[in-house]
Amino acid sequence: MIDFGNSSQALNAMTALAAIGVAISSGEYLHQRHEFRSDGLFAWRLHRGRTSFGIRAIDRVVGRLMEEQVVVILLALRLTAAILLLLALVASLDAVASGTLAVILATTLLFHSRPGLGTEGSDQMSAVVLVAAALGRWFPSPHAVQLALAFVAAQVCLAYLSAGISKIAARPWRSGSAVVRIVSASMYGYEPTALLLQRHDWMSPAATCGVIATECLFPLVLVAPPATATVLFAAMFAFHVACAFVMGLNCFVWSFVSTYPAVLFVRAQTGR
Amino acid sequence: MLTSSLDWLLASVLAMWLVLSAVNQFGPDHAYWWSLKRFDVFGLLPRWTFFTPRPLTSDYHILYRDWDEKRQQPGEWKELALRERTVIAAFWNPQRRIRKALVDSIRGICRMAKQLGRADPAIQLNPGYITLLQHVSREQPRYPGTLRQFAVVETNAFYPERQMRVLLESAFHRL
Repeated sequence: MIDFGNSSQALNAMTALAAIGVAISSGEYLHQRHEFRSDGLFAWRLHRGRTSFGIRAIDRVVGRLMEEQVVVILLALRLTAAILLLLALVASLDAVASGTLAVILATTLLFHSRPGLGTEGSDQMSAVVLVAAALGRWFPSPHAVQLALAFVAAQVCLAYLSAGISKIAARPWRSGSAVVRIVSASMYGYEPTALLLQRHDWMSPAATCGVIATECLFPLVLVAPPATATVLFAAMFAFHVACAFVMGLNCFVWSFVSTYPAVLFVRAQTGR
Repeated sequence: MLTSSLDWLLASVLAMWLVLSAVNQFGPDHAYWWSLKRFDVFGLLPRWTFFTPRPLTSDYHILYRDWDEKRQQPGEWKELALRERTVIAAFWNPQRRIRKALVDSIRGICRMAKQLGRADPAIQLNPGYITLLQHVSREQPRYPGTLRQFAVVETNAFYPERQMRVLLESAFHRL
């Protein structure tokens, strides 16, 4: 297992993995930039009524920033900043890393305040990681990095545990049919996998149980012996990769795996 | 070990954020909670309950048709096709945002229709309805200024026996 006993190293690894996700996500939005036009799905005029900071001056500034041409510039800036952040972390250029992180954080929060962009759980985790990374880097307290990492580790444990428990409470998951039904719809499905699961009745309940068990047990990585922790990390990583291939949820891999250095760091502090 | 007051300040803020995130998982339907959530303009209180309680297990098809002025009756339905997903989507999937935005819109309308009834004209003010109307309005009409209607049909895509259900039929809107 990778050793993240050093907090700065863990913070940099977490930030770098998150930056890759930010770069992909920004690139994907840029690829669909026509949707930000006034006749597009993401047109600001469709959604501006649903966002308010409660202060007219701020709403006006945000409205300007959300205009089509400005949004495209901001997305390009976000993509560039993510690439520069990665390079800065590799080359240990602290000032560049801080500057680019600031740009990414500002644009992430701005896009998060805007509904109707087809955002998903990976964007939520990405925002949590980026805010924590910024606090760890900038907050002037002696243990800011350690606290930020502990927070991210706690959030990802909460994420997996909530996802697992909510599945136990949901009927399609309890009946074991959820996986086959999800992959049988084209939104998150893949026909060969759907047909395979439809052909073999035992596969969907097995996959459903596996997903729920791994999600619920994940928080144990903080205290489990190395062999058990490795199995849990590997299982969750494989789950995200499988979701990327079968369901097209590519950004989840980067945003969730970016939290693993924080988990490994906290684990190292518990003496494991 | 936390040694300074700044450490304690940061620890308190992060602990509060974590507690609020945990509470948000239960989605408490309480006026006090909603008034608190209004301040979360940046969406920093996550909801991690993926694919629950009702995972997306069917496909939505968006169709539209124009009013045929000559015959004074609606024309043929046409489907707005979305591009098929390939293996590349595991690394690069820009279409995901479009699909998600459309599904969010459709589910928003369905939630409202469940509360008010499908025939309630207030549905036309739903952000999802307006988004879908804008989406179908981009398709070139045969005659300028024609009237257009859209519909959402639900199917179960990869099952051998196909079932279809009309979820929504919009009014005719002038383009």
